[in-house]
This record gives sequence, C-alpha cells and structure tokens, in this order.
Amino acid sequence: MSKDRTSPARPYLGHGVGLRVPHYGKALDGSLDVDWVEVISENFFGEGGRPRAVLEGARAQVPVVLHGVSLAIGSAEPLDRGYLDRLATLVQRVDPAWVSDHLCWGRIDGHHAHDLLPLPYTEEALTFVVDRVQQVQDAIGRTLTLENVSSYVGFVASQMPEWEFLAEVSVRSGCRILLDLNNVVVSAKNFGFAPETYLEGIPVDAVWQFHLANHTDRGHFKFDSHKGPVPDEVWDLYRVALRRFGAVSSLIEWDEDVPAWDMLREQQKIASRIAAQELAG
Amino acid sequence: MNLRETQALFWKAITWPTGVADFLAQADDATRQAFEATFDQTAAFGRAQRVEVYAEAYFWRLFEVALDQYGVTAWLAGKTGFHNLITDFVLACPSSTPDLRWFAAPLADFIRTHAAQRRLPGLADVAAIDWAINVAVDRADEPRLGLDALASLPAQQWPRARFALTQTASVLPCALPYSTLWTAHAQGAPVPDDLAAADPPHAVLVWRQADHDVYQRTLEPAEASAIAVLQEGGTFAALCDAAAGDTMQGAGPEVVVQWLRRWLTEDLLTAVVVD
Repeated sequence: MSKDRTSPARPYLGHGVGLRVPHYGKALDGSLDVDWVEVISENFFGEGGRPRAVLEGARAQVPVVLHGVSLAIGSAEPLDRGYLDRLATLVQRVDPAWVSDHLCWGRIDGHHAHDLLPLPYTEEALTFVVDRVQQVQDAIGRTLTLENVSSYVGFVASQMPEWEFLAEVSVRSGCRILLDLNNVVVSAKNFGFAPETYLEGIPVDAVWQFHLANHTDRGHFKFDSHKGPVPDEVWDLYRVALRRFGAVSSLIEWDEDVPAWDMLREQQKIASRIAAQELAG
Repeated sequence: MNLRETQALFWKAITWPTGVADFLAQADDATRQAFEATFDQTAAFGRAQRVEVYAEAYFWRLFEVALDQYGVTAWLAGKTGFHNLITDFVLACPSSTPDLRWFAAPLADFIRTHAAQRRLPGLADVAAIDWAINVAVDRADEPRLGLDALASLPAQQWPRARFALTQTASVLPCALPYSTLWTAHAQGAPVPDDLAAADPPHAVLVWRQADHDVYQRTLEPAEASAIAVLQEGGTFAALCDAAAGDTMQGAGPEVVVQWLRRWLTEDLLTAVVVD
C-alpha cells in the first residue's frame, strides 16, 4: 500500500465533533478547536435566531458537514419536496463540505417515525433507493453521502447483506458513503457477522467519512445509544478501517448526556492520534 | 410482500399503543403470518423483541422532545399525567413533519379536547405559551430599533409614526399565571395546590431579544391593548387615543412613552415608519 493514503477525489477534513446544543457557545465565541464539525441539518431549518448564528459562527471557523436524519431515502412514497427545498436552501447558505443522511426509511403516509428504520436488502429496494438518491442529488445540487444505520431486525426477503446493498447503492447512484463504525459493531452483534467482513465489502474510494460513537450493551443485543466515550471495539475497528480506506475524515458522535467539551475534544484527539499511527505505516 | 407493504406492517407494529407482542396478540392470523414471513429472528432474539426495540424508541424519542419543549405543561400535569397525555397525543397525532422539533406543535389544541384540561382548566393555555417560546427561537432575524432612532424623530412626525413589533412576538391568553408558574418551575418548586383559572385570562407576551434569548412576561390589560394597537399597525396618535380611552383604562400619553421606552429596552420594536 502507498504511504500517501489520501484519495485525490476525497477531501480530507481531519477529525471533527458533532456539534450539539450544549456546545453551541463554542461556535458563537469563536473557540472551536477541532478540525471540523457536523450539525444536524433539520435543527437549522429555521430562518434566524441562535441556531442560525451558531451555524454561521461555526462555518466562519471550520468546515461544516450537514447531516440529516429525516430524508427517508428508502420510504416507499414520493420524496417530501418541501423538505428537499429547505435542505437545498440550507446547502446554498452554508456551503457545507458535504451533505449526508441515512440509508433507511422513516416516513409512511406522510407520518414520520423520527427513527432510522432498516430496509429489506432486495433488488426492489435497491432500484428504488438508487432512483431516489439521484432525485435528491438533483434537488440539492450536491452528491449525497449515505450512512449505514444500526439495525435490530432483518428481513426474510433480503437478497444480499447490508454491505453489499450499500456498496451497490453507491456504485449505481454515485453517492458516497459515511461509514459509521459503531453502527457496524452494533449490527454485527445483532446479526452475527464479523465487523471486518462489512468493511471488506465496501468500495474504498466511496467512503467519505467515518462516524465514531458508543453503544449500550443490552445483553443479547447492542443498542446504538451515542452515550459515553468510544469503546475499544470501535477504536479497534477504526484501526482496521484506516488501513483499508486510508485517510478518511472522522467524527465523534455523542448525543446522550453530552459531556463537557474537553471530553469530546479528548475523544477527537484519540481519533487523530490513531489515524496518525495507522496512516504512517 | 413489496417494499410498501413491508413498511406498512412495520409501522403498524411499532406504533401499536401497547407494544409489538400485544399487536400480534390482537392481530388476525393473516397479519401474524405476514409478520413471521417478513421479519427474521434468532433463537436468542425473537422477531417481536427485535421490532419492539423500534417501538420503544418511537414513543420515547417523541416523549423526550415533548418533555423538553413543554416544560411548564409537564410540570403542571405531573409525571404520570404528562406521560398519559403524550401517549394519547402520539396516538391521535402521529408526527406529520420531518423536523422532530415541530411534531408536538398541535399539543395545545389537543389538550383542549383531553381529560388533562378538565382536570386543570388552563393547561392548554400554558401549553400554547410553552410552544410559543419554542417557535420564537428561530424565527427570522430583524434589526432592532434603538433609543437613538426615536431621539432623531422630529416632533411633528410623532403622531404619524408607526412602530413595528418584532415578528418573534406573540401575545397569548392564559387562564393560569404563566409567568409565576414558569419561575416556580425553573426554581424546582412544587406545583401550587390552589391553582384556579382566571376569567378573563391573563395576557402573556412572548418574544425573542436581539441576544437570541426568548422571554415571556405577563402584560397588564392596558399594555396588552397597546400592543394590540401596534400589531394592527396603529400610529403613535392611535396609541395615545386608545390610552386615553376606555380600552386602556384611562392611561395617559406619559404611560405610552413609558411603554415605548420599555419596549425599546426589551428589543420589542424593529422599525419606525412615518406615513
């Protein structure tokens, strides 16, 4: 393998943190000391106030990635055009490094679950999602980045494993992949596969970003809680991922009981240190 | 079963009010068979248990957001009362917005039809103000009028001057003393046991200041009438006329000037226009 692990087509932002409400002040007072931040797109759909000031403050300091949770790319009904219009407006205003959401569904008959519900990995779903990715990309004028979700239930009808489905969506639609390594660990436990097998099924150049987070072990299954520091098994998989995918921007996600900034920063530093070690060889 | 049918079954199972196991217990044979034919399972982790993970997450995510947004309402309703209220609300009004922050927008109207309002008349008014505070957070930014703008207004133009109220402001009726309750809740005090609905209701002003913080305060009837004149686009002369009349209980021009000063200090005014 080459020592230059950056991809000419893939921007490398370094190591970031998901910016959440308790730390909005860091954006407002100009003290963001990480390489980049990711924000939840829908939280900034409003026209003004503190959220808008936070976003502008963050954008003035570091690259910002817009990460949505309500696109519902796999919902078997027409895309929400109003939602896409608002996202497109936000994209124009923020000029994010990239725009991401999840490979899942969450809306039916106009009602929203506000959850990341899993898809059956069938040819029908694949064709459907690929078409929808293209619609979204046309609407927002950006290439979409899709994230693998944590799953708790699979489908009898699935014709391929999740990694193959995700890879095919990327190959056919041109979308990029946000590889959530915690979600891989969670789903691996819940469905009994090796996390490394997942990574091996993902095309190297499609991966644009890693998510690093914690989960809760509930005995017979793991639950994606985003609470607490990144556990060793996710750090271990991060090392494997760096060796396979090269220099990919990483992001610490911590959404429950959000800690003091110093703690988040410490996690971000660990991600940076591990990347330096793995990419040096 | 196609993608659409699979998602419809999934949705029905996770939104069933008493859980997935009960959904299956009450379902017909065809639905139970479809469930088994759709969802995978392992010996250690059954399909109903697996889908139940989503069912629990569905309710609790919505509940937590409502609890965060309707703090005074939840405090007044009590832990069990608010849980039951949101359970009924989520069943009756599943989210119809992609923005989670807006799913509970109809809660105040829902409370007006709910037993919680009969137990505590005025609870729906409180919920409407809790919601107005949320809404004010990210309304469009506006320039705010400073004292210097008034100082430079020629005296002869004052009668025709119209003062624009910030679009973040709303005045809502409340049968309960919202501002007092908000403070008590913020201080961790117990719910007063002598709450009684006022008739006529109090008027509560909610608005966002230039520093982005959202405030609320109870208005005296005369000031509420004056703000109504502003909202209707009335001139300074109309404000003084109204102040002198019955609607404002005989408040004089000097009171109007005091209000103007206060409104400026509170960032309530965004522009002055002279016809």
